[in-house]
Amino acid sequence: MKIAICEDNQQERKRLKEFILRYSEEKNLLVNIDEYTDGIELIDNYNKLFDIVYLDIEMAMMDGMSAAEKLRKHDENVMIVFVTNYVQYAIRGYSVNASDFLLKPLTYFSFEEHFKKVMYQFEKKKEVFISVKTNNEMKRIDVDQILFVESQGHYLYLNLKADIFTILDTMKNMEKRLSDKGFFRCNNGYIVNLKYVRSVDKNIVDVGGHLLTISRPRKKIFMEALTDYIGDDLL
Amino acid sequence: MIENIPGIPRIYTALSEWLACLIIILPFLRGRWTLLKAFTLVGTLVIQILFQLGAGMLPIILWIPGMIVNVLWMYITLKYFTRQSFKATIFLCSKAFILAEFSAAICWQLFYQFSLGQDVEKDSAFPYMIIGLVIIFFIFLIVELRTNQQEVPIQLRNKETLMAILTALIIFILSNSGYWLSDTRVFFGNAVGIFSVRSFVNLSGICLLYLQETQRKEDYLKKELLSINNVFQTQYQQYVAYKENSDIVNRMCHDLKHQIDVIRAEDDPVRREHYLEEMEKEIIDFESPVETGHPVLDTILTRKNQFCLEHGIKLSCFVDGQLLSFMNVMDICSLFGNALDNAIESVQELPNKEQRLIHLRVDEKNGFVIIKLNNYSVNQIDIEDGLPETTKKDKMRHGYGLKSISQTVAVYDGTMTISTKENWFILKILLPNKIFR
Repeated sequence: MKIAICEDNQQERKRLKEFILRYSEEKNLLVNIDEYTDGIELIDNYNKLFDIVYLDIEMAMMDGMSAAEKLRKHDENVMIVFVTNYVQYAIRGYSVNASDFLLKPLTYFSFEEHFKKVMYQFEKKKEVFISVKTNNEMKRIDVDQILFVESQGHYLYLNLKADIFTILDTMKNMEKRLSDKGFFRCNNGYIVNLKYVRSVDKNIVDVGGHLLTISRPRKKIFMEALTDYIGDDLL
Repeated sequence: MIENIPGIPRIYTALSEWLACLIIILPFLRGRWTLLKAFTLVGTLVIQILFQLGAGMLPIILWIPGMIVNVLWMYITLKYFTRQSFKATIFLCSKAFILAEFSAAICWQLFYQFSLGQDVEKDSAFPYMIIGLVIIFFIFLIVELRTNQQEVPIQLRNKETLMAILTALIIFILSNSGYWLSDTRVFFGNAVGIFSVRSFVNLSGICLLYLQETQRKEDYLKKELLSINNVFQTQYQQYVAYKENSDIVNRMCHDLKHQIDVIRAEDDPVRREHYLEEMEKEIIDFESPVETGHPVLDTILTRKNQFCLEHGIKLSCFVDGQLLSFMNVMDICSLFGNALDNAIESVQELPNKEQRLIHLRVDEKNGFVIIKLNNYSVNQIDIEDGLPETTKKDKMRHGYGLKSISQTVAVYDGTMTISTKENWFILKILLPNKIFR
């Protein structure tokens, strides 16, 4: 894991670094920390290899907020975490899609809780595959590619982004395999990848452009599953 | 005794139905009369009469469809003039229909009973009937105007609409039961009996519908009063906070003067630094603005943040307030006020100040607005029926906060979930994003 710390106060920088090292030691993580003393330094030397950037808000040359804005232009995926004083509390973190912010003075407790959640996000980003048998050959499918699963007769149709696979399996089985991977069954005939839900209008759910019906008794738990899924995306 | 009262002539039924619609429409029109509207109203009367006369010529088997057509026309008339929602119009239509049934029946019955024994021609009834109907509907009009004084918007849930329809239907069936039960052993006596039953049943139907309406209005007013009280409470708190602030500022200014003198006199740079740090710490408490892009939310969050600072709670919020601009200000106050109060109360019980953490996020994802509030908690929280069992003794009051949140969420077709993960209590709210639609 590559982490950048951008902070002009040497003491604070050292403390954050210690916390990261302590955590990674406890959890056996491999981390690599780069340190910067100003936003401008970070931006000038930026390459896309970082996973997380810790940004102080108040720095002499380029403040954390402007640095974050510039960062976002280059890199959509990097996690941005602000480290700030109460004094500069009013930060519009949402405008740069920041993941979190830590309030100074940092304590190991709050850092640990923060980092646990960061690790959870990383776990979620990993690709997950399922193997299915189609036309007598086993195929490994990235679940991220699946929009929804449709059942018709004895067959299941895996609607991928660019393809449709037909497999011989039961909905129940499939539901069991997908339910912990961000999928939810919206009625007898469909299992939906919650990631691609664009809108829900009454009993119709838009899954990547496909309009599917949600059965009446499932509407409530479906919406709850969707709420949890979308909410878990935020740190 | 007259052995037989003939059925009500269709023209009076039509007139009565139209008058019933009229008295319901009148309060809605309040002063916004145009000639066109008056003409249209007269037009609806003509059509109503034509429908009734037409239905009268149909064989008896088509009696029910004939009724339905007439009721539909009443619905159209009401819808056109009152411009209410589908459900509200259904309710108004049920009311108008029962009013019409009652008025026509009672007038016709009275007319026949008072003309006892005399050989009345059907046609001679006309002036009496008109006068009778006008008097009755004038009374109803007064009732309508009086009940509508408070300007309560008609907001009906599916259940209430259904209840109005069922009431009207049951009353209608009961009031006419004399006709189709005439062959059975149920004894209604003669035609006068049948008509009396009809009038009384209709009257009780009217009472029922008015009762439902009054109840609904009272509920609405009660709820409104409650939210107004909430707003007042918030405003009062704000006022208290401002007052506290200005007191503290005065005191601080006084203290600062002394402190500056002390620092000036201090030669040791380490101690000087120490003094400055202490001063800084004190100043921090005043600068805790939260910027979200939504003025109301800014005020609430700033206020709560100030409280958090005073009590050693770390509240971090990333809130894009503009996403909530579609929400009513009162709802924003109660939603965030309640949610944050719950979280603050929960973390305040933690003896270890490091653990007093609250995170609030409001963001936009996949075309939804997501509100997420986490707070650290060491208590085991049992979630029961979607809402957590309260850990406080005062069960009634504490449970109210989350219930009120879930009610507000329901108003915006949103979903709320509550979960715990390790030591975190997590409240998530998903709202359909109405800005981009």
